[in-house]
Amino acid sequence: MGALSRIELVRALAELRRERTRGTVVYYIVLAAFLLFLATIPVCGATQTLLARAHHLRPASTVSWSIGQVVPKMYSFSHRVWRDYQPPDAFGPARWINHYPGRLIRSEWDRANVVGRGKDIYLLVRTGYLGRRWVTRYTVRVHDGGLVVEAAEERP
Amino acid sequence: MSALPATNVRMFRIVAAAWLVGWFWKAWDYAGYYLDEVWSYPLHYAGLPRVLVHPALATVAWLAPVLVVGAIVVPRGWTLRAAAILMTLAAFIGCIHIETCADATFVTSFWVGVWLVWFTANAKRDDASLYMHARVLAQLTIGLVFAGGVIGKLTGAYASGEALFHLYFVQKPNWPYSALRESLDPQTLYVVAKWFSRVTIVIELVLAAMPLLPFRIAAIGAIVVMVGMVVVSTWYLLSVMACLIGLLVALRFSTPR
Repeated sequence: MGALSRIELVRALAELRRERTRGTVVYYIVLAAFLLFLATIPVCGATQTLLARAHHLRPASTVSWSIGQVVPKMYSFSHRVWRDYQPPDAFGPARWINHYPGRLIRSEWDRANVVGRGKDIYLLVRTGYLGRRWVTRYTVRVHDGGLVVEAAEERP
Repeated sequence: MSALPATNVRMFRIVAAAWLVGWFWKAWDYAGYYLDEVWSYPLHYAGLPRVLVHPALATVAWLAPVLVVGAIVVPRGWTLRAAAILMTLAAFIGCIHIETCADATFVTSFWVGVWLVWFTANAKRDDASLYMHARVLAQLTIGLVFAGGVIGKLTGAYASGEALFHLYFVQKPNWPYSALRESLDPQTLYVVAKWFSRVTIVIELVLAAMPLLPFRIAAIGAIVVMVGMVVVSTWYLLSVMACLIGLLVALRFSTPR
């Protein structure tokens, strides 16, 4: 305990045991729960799939989306995207994306050009982590001055 | 008159100001996007609830933290609490709305917002226990952010350097990557990318372990590393890091030992 007590986290938890201030206890529990969630990523397929689906903007539910979105995942998993005016295959040069490859459906800062051209866009997104793969195909249709997006999971 | 301890007001001001700098760091780009493009050319997507695709929610959430300036100027107990709740709520919407969800700015802003909600709820205290928990909870927050990054990189594409080779050394247009592409052959460039990737993983691992390190040294180290990440990557990254840096600066330089 002597060496451990030099760690401020250990002293803070001991102090918390004495004080039992409810809000502070809840805050520690929330942080511990999210750290535990992160620790499961390399070993739990369900956690990996939840995060991969978040990267693809294709959550299983609003609850899983909300939880997955506050989980820090910068430069996390590997993501490649193929984008074309016709449905692409996963061959040839791909664009690598640091995180959230699904964001390319938004055509940020280029939507005026995309809508102006009036041509539908197709994307194939492939995400990998520890030997597993998740693939989503997107169709971005130009419709009525905006973009209508459809997403479908594809077996890797 | 404010009945709050001067130390706590100063800490709130530093963290909130840094948070706002990060939040609006890319305003030059985002103003046109959130105020014009998402309205002129709306996106329709059935994969998320309609409210999380509607442009109004993204625009309001992005603009609302301007009100936090009021709490910085007029620091009362209730203005600080209201500001912290507003910041956290706006950041949470930023995390889950389709037009904003891909930006890590909102994730770090959310977690620092949660810290501010806790801190402002305790802002009338000035005992040693408060500042100890403030430091430890901030360390856990930094640890959480970098644990997410490093655990997501424990995969072949990052261990081999392939992911960062493409993301930085092939695709990034800015210096030093443009200069490296011109001066090195592809094989050498790949070796540099491999070691760059491995060093990144080690640094993130150390930052993830921050809750176990002595605060005063770890805070300085983390600030230096985060500023370094901004310089090595892109100045846009300051939007993600500013609130974390502000949190550590406030605790390192403004609280009693």
